Amino acid sequence: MNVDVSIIGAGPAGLAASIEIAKSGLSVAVIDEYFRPGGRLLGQLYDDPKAPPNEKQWDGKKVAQGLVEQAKVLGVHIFCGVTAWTVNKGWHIKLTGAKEKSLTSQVLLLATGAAERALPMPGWTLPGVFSIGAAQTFTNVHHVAVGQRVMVVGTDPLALSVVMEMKQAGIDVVGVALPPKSPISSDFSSPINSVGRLAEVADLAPNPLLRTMGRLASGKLRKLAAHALHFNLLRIEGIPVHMRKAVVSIEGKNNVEGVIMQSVTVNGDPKGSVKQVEVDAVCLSAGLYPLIDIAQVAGCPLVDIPELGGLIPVHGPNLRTPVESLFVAGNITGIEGAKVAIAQGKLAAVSIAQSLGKKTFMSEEQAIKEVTLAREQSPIRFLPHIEEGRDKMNSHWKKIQKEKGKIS
Amino acid sequence: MCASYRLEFSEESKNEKEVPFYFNGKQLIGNEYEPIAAALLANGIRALRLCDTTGEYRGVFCGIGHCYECRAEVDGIPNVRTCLTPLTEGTKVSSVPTWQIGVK
Amino acid sequence: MNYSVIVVGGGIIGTSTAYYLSKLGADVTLLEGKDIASGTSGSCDQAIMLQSKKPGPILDLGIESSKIYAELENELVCDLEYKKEGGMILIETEEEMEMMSTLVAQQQEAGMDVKLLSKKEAQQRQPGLSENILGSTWWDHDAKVNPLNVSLNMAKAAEKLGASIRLGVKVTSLITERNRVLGVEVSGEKLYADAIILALGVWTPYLLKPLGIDLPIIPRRGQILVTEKIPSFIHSTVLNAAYIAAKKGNGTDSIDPNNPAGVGLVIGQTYSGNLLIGGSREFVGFDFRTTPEVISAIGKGAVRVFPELENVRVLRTFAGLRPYTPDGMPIMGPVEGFSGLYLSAGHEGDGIALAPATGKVMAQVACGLDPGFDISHFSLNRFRKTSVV
Repeated sequence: MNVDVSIIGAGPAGLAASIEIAKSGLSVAVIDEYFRPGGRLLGQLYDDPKAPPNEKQWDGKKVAQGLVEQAKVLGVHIFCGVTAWTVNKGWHIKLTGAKEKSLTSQVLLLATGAAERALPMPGWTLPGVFSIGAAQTFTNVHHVAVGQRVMVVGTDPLALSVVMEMKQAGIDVVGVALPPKSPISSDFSSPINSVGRLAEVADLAPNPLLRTMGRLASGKLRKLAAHALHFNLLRIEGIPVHMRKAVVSIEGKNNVEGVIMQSVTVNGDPKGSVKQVEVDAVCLSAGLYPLIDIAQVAGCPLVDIPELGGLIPVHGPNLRTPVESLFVAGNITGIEGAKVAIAQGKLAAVSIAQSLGKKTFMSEEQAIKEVTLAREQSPIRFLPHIEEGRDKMNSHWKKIQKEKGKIS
Repeated sequence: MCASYRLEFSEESKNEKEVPFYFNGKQLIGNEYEPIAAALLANGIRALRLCDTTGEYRGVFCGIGHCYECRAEVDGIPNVRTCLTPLTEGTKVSSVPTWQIGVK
Repeated sequence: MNYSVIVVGGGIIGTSTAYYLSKLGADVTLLEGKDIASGTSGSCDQAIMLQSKKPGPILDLGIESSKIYAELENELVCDLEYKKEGGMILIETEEEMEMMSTLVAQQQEAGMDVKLLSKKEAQQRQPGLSENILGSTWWDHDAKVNPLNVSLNMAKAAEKLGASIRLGVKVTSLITERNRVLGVEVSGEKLYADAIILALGVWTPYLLKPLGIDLPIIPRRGQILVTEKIPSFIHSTVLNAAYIAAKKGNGTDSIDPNNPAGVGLVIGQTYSGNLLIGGSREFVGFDFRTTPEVISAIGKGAVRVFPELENVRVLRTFAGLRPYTPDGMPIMGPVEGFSGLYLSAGHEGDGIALAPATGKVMAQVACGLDPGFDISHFSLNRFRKTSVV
């Protein structure tokens, strides 16, 4: 199939982009490996305190449905259950899983999103151990409980929001605890850092204590808050959040049967009593990282910006990459919420339409402003220093543009 | 035990069409077009295969196709990611490969 | 022995040479710019296929090697994933039948018990073969081995015998004095030895250029597919005749216009159950990339002869650069006009099959001993129209 623009990833960024690109009169095809479009939107269901009164509930499934309908009306081709196994400049995108064996387009937009970081620990391969994202998907998309007694490991914003979603769905979450200290989990395993992270969910927290603590934990008060951990144990909607206990191993023969918990010092070192808790499911949360594989295959340089979640394809403020006719949008540019992804999708659409000499529905400056606005209005911040990360990428981009200017 | 894993918190879930399918020869009921992994999980089945190096049981981990832990043989095709594959009536899922290449 | 030798290159040829030198008691230093088997030896398949060779010096060296391979796991006390499982070359067209019948007749004459099998016999040996093949060859003595295991264990064994294995050390030039090579330079440091053996495969010409030697080794790319693990299926190394025909291109100017990438089939199953499916023969310089066109063509070729592979997924692909020489033979032995300098490179796709005997012979040659094997056919002189001296 031959189109003007191909988009890899039918999540919020890819779908939003496809709609605006189609509005500019360009032909668009979107592909996704999952069998239905929507990406991570499908799993999202929460109350958004920052939203206007009539939009308080964020139902990602409905948002996705709306985007898909709009895209289809505009003639966007959406192919699901399709894997892109390679891309070559030109662009030729090779596919498996579909009748179409390849896509050819002038422009390629990568909206591949993110994947979850692994959190290896003793027993983590047992059936009944899930990633936190899987727990969200099974709960909110498929309406299946991952277990009857669930333990969550990790106290980051995503983990806590999924805990609340599981609770709302009637799943018995018996507790939330820290991961064991290891070279991999070091950022997440110490109470000091974990309390700090609570600041980022403070607004989302229904529990006043947690909200207070989250505010207390921001900035310079972080260490003080951890030391003053009178609240070794918090409760979110009645679910115990153990800020001074780690799950050190997962037990069971052929299935998860329980976890071993141990008290830890403020720095996350194990200390003191060990306790076994009976559970039949464990959800591990260690954060997200951008899915950059295809960008790499497409020849896009990468830069490591921890504030954005790791290795990121180099891109400018308008989501162009140094590779001609290659654009990026959504979590591939840094880990943020769906609202930012949608705004980025629109921005990418503006950049792409401009690059192909088409009129756009809004100016680039306006589209960039909307991304900033969406960021400010996001109910969840996955990464605490996202703005710093964005600034770093922008100055990196400026630097390479300058160098390019010198050469040419 | 089956029903207790199925969450019924929305109107939507009542509109699902139930279909029979098979896991290791045993007939089970799942919702049409839900991922096979979800249908199995709803039936309380977590162990989907044996790890070919350690012999230990393995099940769903990431749920969105990245980790490849939820592989099983589906309708004679080995190593299918059950989290990405929608259930249809009569789907046959097997933990151990029944497919042997070159044997007809 | 107070005789020092520097081996440059940590591929299967270099590590094997270092091992046999250490066994002879030489004071060995192996210098490798990256890591053991990080180049060609780590990006190839596992076949030790000798029946594809015409009778001659390469086949002789291969047979010496296969004798060593049969005992190597015991000698090094390690698992090399070696198995003498036999090999077959599939015949799909009448032209190929003619070519293979001639080759088999030559081999039989030379005393090799290679057989021609009918389609039925081939299918009995290897279930799953397509109805469309015409037949195949068969030889019991073909084998497979894990080249990474061989390289790593050769290096380990050499180290145990006292060799110094230095990784991440890139040789930038040779130190010469009139018509003698005295040592090598590595990022400012000068290392001296009685003998220097260059086993850098496709990278060997770089070090010889400053000496005024134009070494006719050209990188020839081979692309390989790795499938998911499947139950035991490929019971021997399987090639198709097209892959052998593709090798014959005598120089870059004789590329088959109908098959410019030299696509053919070589397929084997590793100990862990993955299939390695190759390959191609492409002159593209030092380009390690895989290309969707060639990958698709190799995959299609595999499905053509094994229809049931259609449902088997490819996990990844990689490419390796084989050190091609114009006559398909390696360049081994002393370099005339530069005493102390030895070459052992240019094995193209035969490096794995030839490594043990190559290492053994080169160790003896570099130590001034009689290898008991005539390596004059492999001398660089065959490419030098006039003597340099």
